[in-house]
Amino acid sequence: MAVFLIISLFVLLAFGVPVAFALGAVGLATILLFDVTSLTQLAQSQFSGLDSFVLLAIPFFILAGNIMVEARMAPQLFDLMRAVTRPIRGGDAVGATLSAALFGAMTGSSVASAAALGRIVIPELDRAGYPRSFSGGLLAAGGTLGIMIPPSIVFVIYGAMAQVSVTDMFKAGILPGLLVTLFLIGVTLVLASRNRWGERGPFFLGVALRALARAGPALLMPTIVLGGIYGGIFTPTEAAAVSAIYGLFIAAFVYRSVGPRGLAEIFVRSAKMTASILFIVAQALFIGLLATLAGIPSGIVEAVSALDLQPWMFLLVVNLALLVLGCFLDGVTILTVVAPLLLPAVLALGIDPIHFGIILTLNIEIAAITPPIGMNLFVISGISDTRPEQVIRGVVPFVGVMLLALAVVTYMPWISLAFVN
Amino acid sequence: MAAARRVLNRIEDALSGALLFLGLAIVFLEIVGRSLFSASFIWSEEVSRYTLIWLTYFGVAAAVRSDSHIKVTIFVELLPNAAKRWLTIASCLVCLTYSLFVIWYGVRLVQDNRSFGLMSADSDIPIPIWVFQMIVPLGYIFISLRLVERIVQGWKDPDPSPVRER
Repeated sequence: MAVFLIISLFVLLAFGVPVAFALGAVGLATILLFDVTSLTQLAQSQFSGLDSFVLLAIPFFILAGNIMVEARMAPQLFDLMRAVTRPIRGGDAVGATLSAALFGAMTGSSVASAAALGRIVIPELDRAGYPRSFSGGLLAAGGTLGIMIPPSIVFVIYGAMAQVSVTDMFKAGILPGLLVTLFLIGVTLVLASRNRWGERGPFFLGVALRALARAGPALLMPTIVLGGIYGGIFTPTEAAAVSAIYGLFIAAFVYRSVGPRGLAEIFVRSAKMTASILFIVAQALFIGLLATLAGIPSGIVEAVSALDLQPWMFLLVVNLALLVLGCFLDGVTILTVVAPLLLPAVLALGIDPIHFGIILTLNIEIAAITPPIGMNLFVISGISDTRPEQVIRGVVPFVGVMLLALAVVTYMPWISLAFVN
Repeated sequence: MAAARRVLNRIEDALSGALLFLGLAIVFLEIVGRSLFSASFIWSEEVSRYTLIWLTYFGVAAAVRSDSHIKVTIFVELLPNAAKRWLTIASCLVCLTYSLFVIWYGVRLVQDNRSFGLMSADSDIPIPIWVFQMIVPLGYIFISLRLVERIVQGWKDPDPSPVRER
């Protein structure tokens, strides 16, 4: 049964059957062949799998992200950051990275961040004389901060799958998110000074203050969301709802960038994006049940103890496997299908599941900027009219430091666990 | 036929968008009620969860229409166009088979819970659970219609790539 599950799933996925349907069809075939549970149970899982208040955070965060993109908050943030970083060499590019980090604190997804910022920032970096491959690579990598810096849709899904608190995940992501931001800035500074990109500019207090005033309403958003969650005022789902409502409010009344028809379109688009994620979640939960019945997770636990793997070796093997899998599977699939199989082994080795969630997230970030399927590369290439090969060439140094960050985060658990009780 | 398709498009889009709005409104009202008037609605959490489930399946049908479900394409991309076309049809047939099973057993699920008279688990709303669970067969009927549409399209049209929408 275990062999059948794995092989049939791989075959269907390789033939291009959509992930959620492939999982469902494999589940159906497994029940028909092995009679392990009833088909009514399968139908029931379509309802009960999604019957969760935690998962409700996903559509709200997606909605808030789409509103921010449409409301054109990205230019305000970039102007503010650039006003501050201008006096250093490569200041514009550093400002772009910092805006990506700030945007990450406002949205929960990586593609949305990359697209929203890339559209604004890449033309500006062109004007400042940076080569397109560098700016494309920077924005592709910077976009991935969207899923590491809280709030994050990835953390919500992981929390629901691994039965850990989403609030704890949001606390755990802070330092790793800052670490990756610093690493990206480090690469930027080195490349800028070596290639003499990005002239220094003067600092004007007036310009900075005016930019701050204009970005103020946008900056208040992460303050409300994260402050509300960390202060224990809101659950993550409620915080997501508040951020969507607040976003609607400033888009309609402060920046006045979205009309009623635009709003309706945002709701429909957000619902569709939600559906394609949650459909996979529902099917993955059921397949996870069958995999447990087939003894796959417990088999992994036995293999780990038979090989006498130490936690550090296990994490090394897992990281390598995830980097390879990330070339074929998207982040949601890794998170919902692969992660639950590994969790019993993680717990048996005494690794904190929250720490493991952060490691997974960093792997998913790296997968988003490595070919052949790295979504952010193609998004950036699409919005900036740059050939994908050029973006791929530019992203190489950033992938390098993110691998370094992965090693640091993997082997220094306190970075993830410092704020978690 | 084309008119029917347009109506279906409208229904899916309008329902999934409206359900998202409804869910958001419920959660927001609950927060406002709790923090300003210390009034809490027992039903609000449960109903907002059900809006999530309903919006998901209408959204899934819409995503079948625009072929925007997440899938692994790197191997399929290597094939010649004719093979791609047949593979798309075969893939839709797999999805359709699965969906038809879920419709059949979804109807049974609803019937079973109706005959047991099962109520919602954790609140006092006077609506039995099977009413909400009707989304399982209903949602998959919408999904199946979309799959049939794509199979027919693939059959008639040698170019397998559907019109992309964003």
